[in-house]
Amino acid sequence: MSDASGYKLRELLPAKIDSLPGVLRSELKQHDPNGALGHVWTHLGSTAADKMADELDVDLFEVLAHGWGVARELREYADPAKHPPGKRAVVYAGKHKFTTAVHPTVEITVEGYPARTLRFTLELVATFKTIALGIENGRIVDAGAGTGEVSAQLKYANEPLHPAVVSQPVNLSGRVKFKAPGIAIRDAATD
Amino acid sequence: MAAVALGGSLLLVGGLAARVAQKRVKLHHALENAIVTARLGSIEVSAVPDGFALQAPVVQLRITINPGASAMDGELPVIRTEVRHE
Repeated sequence: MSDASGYKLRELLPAKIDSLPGVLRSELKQHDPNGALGHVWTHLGSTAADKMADELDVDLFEVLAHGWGVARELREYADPAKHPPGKRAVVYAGKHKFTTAVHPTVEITVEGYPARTLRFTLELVATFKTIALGIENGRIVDAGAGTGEVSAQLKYANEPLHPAVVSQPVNLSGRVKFKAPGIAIRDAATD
Repeated sequence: MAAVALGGSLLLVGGLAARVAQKRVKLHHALENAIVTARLGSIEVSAVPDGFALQAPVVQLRITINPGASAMDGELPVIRTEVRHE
C-alpha cells in the first residue's frame, strides 16, 4: 500500500491561471485606495498565486475521499455499535458521481494595512466506475481499484477563474493510504 | 511669504514621498528575501526587512487549504463488502 496515488490535485487545473494574480491584486488593493504600495500588491498577488499552486500539490484521492465520506450508504460504518473499533471493512462500489470542494484561503497581513482573507473555491466533479474504500473506526483510511474521471474548476466569489477543464481519467490500480486518522464518514447536511 | 510657505509644503510633500518610496523599497526587499516556512496543510511566508526596529513580520502571507462541501449525486451502489477483525 502506498501513501500516494500518483495523481495530484494541482494537475487538474490549467498550468497557469492568468486571472489569479490579477484577482488577488485587485482585492488587496482595495485597502490601499491611494495606491501607495501599488507594486507591492502586484508582487503579493503573484507570490500568493504561486504559493496557492504549491499548496494544491496534494494527493487527489485524499481530497476525493471527502466526497465518498458523505455517501449515505457508508454512514452505518460511523456507528461504533455496528462497526466496533478494530474492525476493518472494504466497501466495493459501482458507478457513481459526486462533487466535492476545497477552499484555498489566502490571508495577507501588511504592516499598516488591514489584514485580508480571500477565500477561493476549487470544485471537483468525479465520476467513478469502480472504487474500493477501506474503512476503520468510522473513517475512510484507504482506497483502491478506482477507475473514473475527475474535473476541477477554481472560482472566486462564484466566478470561474478559468474555462472548465475537461475531465481527466484516473486509474488507481494499487491502494493509497490516507493520512491518519483518515477521512471521517459524515452527514453532508453538517458540512 | 507665500513662496516660503509653498516651498515648505513642497519639502513636506517631498519628504512624505521619499518616506513612501523608502517603505516601498523595504517591503519589496522584504518580499524578495521572504522566509518561507512550509507546514502540513499550510504555508507561511514571513518577511522582516533589514533596518526595521519591529521584530514582528511586516508582511505575512498564509495559505491554507480547507475541505468544503461534498454531495453524492444519487446513490453509491455498493457491490460487496469485506469485513474482518484486525
